[in-house]
Amino acid sequence: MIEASNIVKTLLAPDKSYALWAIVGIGLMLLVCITVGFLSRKQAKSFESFLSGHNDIGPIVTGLALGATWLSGWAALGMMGITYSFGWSGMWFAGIWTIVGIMPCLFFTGEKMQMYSQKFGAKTVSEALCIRFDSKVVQSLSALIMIFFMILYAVGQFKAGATIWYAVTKLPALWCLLISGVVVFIYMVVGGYTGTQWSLAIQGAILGIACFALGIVSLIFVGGPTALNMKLAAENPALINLIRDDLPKVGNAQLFSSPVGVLATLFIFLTMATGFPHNVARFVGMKKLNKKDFFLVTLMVFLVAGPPIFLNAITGLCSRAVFGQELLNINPWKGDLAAPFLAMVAGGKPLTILYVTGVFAAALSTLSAMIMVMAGNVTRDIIYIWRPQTSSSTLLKLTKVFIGIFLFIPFYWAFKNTPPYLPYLWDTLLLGWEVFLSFVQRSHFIGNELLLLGL
Amino acid sequence: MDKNWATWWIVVVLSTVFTIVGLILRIRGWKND
Repeated sequence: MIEASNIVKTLLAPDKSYALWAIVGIGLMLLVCITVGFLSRKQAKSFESFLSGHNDIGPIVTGLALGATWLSGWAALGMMGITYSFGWSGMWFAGIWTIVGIMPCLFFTGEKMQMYSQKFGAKTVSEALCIRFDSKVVQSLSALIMIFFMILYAVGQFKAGATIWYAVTKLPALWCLLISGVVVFIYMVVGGYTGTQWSLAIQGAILGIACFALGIVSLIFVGGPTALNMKLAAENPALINLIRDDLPKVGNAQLFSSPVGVLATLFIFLTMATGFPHNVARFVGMKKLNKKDFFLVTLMVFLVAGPPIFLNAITGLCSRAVFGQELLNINPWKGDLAAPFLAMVAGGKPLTILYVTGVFAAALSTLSAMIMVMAGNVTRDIIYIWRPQTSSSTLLKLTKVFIGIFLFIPFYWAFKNTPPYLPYLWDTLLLGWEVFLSFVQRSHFIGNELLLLGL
Repeated sequence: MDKNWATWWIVVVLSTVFTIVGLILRIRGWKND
């Protein structure tokens, strides 16, 4: 692998021109989002319209936004690192179940949320649970649970942004992430739910195009499907196994080494997406749907969360075929460099900048959707519900303050003490399941919580 | 070696079928909303 190590050495050398173009790519995306935020400011004048818009958002925007919130920085960056590190057996955990995860959210949970919003005026997911269980305690308790889990998950989004920024520019990520955080704050505070939803839709389109393009270019670069497998087998035949028998059957490798672990990946994706509060919240401000609208939402979700993510697994494999195990020696990023480095080698500047912007879009969309949910959790589901005499303008101001607070906490945490990412995933998948179960007819909130504690 | 690609394609096709069937069922039941 002398050739691969030389390529990696070249990629690790600073190239200022990439930094310049990365600034242009990410800057353009942020500029469009902030413009959208200001265009939506009239829709965010009152506390209620700030939280949920005016029930007038169409199916294309909703579908793209749902795709964007479902796909996090991990989906656009970490998935490739999984198949890079483990070979084909990593495919199961690297997003191959993406559609099985997100479509039930659209078909069941999201549609229920839209109904609670339209018929009963629910402004948040927790408020829908309050209506569902006729309990203010449920509303506040579920809000606290959501905040606890989502704030952990939000750290991972800043971490993904930091990784991709360093990989491409070799510059420290602090300033890039700080500016991105400020822009997200502005478009959320100015545009409220409507501005955020439109920004999410734009980010969804970018990340879908970026991951799809990178997957296709990567496969062509390695010489096609057969050449890819031949190169992987030449390095290590275990890389082409669909289940890695050579790895330990228990522990972290279980998801790749045993049939039980592989089956578990299906349930991980199913439980995560189906009820993630920031996914479900995409339906809060949606207009009343007809059949054609529902077809369009489904198509948009499929286009963003389907083929691009199926190809992410292949991109990671192509990276392994090109770089061998060289990237595993680069601490602390290791496999996370698989996709950005391959983009630089296989696609040059245009593809790299598209991909970097795509990863930022994926990270910022998930982050902003979660923050909007958390801020509403505090003001609508905790303060307003127990102190209804609080004025609308105070609640509106408080929501904006909490957007800032919930942006700052994960930002600070990501830089001060970057914890490993995977445990958050386990935690949040339980959260997704909680919301889904709560929408199931005849379910009981306390019963759901006890079941999750058991899990 | 091709069984990898075959498996990948099977999951991709099944996911697409899952989406289409789910959509058809959802739209067929539309009048009940």
